[in-house]
Amino acid sequence: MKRYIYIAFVVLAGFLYSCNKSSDSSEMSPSIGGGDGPGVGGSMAKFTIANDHLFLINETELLIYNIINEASPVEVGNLEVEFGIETVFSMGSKLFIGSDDGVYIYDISNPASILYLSHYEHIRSCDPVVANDSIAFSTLNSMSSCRWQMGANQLDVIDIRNIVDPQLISSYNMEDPKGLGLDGIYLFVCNGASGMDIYDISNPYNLNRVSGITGIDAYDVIIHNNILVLIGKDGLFQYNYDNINNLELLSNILF
Amino acid sequence: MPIVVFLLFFSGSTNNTVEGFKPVYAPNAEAKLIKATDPKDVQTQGKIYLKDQYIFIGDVNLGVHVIDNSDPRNPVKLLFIQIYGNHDIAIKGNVMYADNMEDLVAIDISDILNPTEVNRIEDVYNPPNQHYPDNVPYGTAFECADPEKGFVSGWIPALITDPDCLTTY
Repeated sequence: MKRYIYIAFVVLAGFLYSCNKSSDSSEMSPSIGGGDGPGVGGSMAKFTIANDHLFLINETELLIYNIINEASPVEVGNLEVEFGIETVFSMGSKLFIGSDDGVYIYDISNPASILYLSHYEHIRSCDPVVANDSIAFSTLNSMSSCRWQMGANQLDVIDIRNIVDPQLISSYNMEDPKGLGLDGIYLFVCNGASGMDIYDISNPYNLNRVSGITGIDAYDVIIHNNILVLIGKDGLFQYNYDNINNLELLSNILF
Repeated sequence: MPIVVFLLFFSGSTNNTVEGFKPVYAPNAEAKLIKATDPKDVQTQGKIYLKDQYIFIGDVNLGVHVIDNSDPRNPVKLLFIQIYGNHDIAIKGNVMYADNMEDLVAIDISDILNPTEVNRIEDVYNPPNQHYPDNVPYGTAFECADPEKGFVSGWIPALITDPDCLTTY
C-alpha cells in the first residue's frame, strides 16, 4: 500500500499564554535568513539548520551534522525514527519530525545528544502532526490510497505548553492543506487548488478566516520580511500583506 | 513502497495506445555533477528556500532555480543549479546542502554564478527509484526504463502504444 502524506507544521511561541514566554522566541531574530546564518525554509522541508547543525531526514532516520565549518559537515548523531517520515522543523531548542504515525518531538539543545520529549499520535492513520512551545498548527493531508481509507484533510491546532503531553485543541476540515506560514496573529495555510486561506488566530480555540488567495494552486509559503512568498503548480507569487483583507500581488514568475 | 512492475504480453496485433509516462534519461556521468546552467523553465515545482536576496525554487529531481529577489516587484531568474535527484536544500553562510541522488553534497555558493561542490557524503539516502513513475495512480502505463540509455532523471506524460509496464500495488 502506498501512502502519500503531506504534512507541515508551524509553531507559535509565547503567543497565547503570556506566562509562557520562552527564551526560545529570542532565536526568531530578524537576522535569520541573511549573512553567515542559515536561510529560511518552508514548512515542507526535510532539512533544517539549527544551532550550527544540519538536521535532515532520510527514509527512516534523523541525521545530525555539525556544520560549524560549513564546508565540512561532520555527522555527530543519528536516530532511527520510523517509516514514512515526511518533514523536519526546528524552533528554538525543539525539533519536530512529522511521520505517518504522528509527530516526534525532541530537545536539540545539545545536537550531539538530542533528547526525546514526546510523540504526538493522532487518532486517524495518515496523520502526522507537530508543534512547539505553546501552540502548534499542523496540516494533515492524505492523498492517493490514503484518501479512500480514512484520509484526513484538516488543520489541527495543538496545545503544546506541556511539551511531553501535547493536546489537540481543535481541527478544521480543509480541501487539500499543505504548507503553512505564521506572522503575528495571522496564519497562512496553503490549500492546494483551493488557494490560500488566512486565519486570525487570536483565539486558538476558534480560528477566524479573514482573507485568502484564490485562483492559484498553493503548495508552500514562506513569510519573511513582511513579504509572503508562495509557490504552487502555477508559479512563484509574492504578496505584500500590510492590508490583510486586500493582499497586493507584487510579482509572479509563472511556470 | 511495494510497487511491482508487471510485464504484459499482448497476443493480438491491435495497437493499444494509452496516456502514460515515459522516462527522461540523463547521462550517467551527469548524475553527480553539480553545475550551473542558464536559467530555464521550471519542470516540476518543488520547495522554496530563502537566503539573503535570493529565492531558490526546487525542481524535483533536477536541481534548483536561483532567483535574484533584491526587488520583490521584479524578481530575476539568475541561473539553474543542476543537482540530479534533488528534493531539498538548506544554506548556512555561503554553503548550500543538497541531496544529490543517494548523497549529501555541500556546495559553495559564495559566487552564486559559480556554485562549486566542496564536499560529498556518500550513501546518506537509498538509491533513487529508477524503475517507475512515482505519485501516479495504480495501473498507469509507462515505457519501461532502459538502463542502457543512462539514468532516469524524471518521467514525462506521453502516449504509450502497447504498454509493457504498468504501476500496481
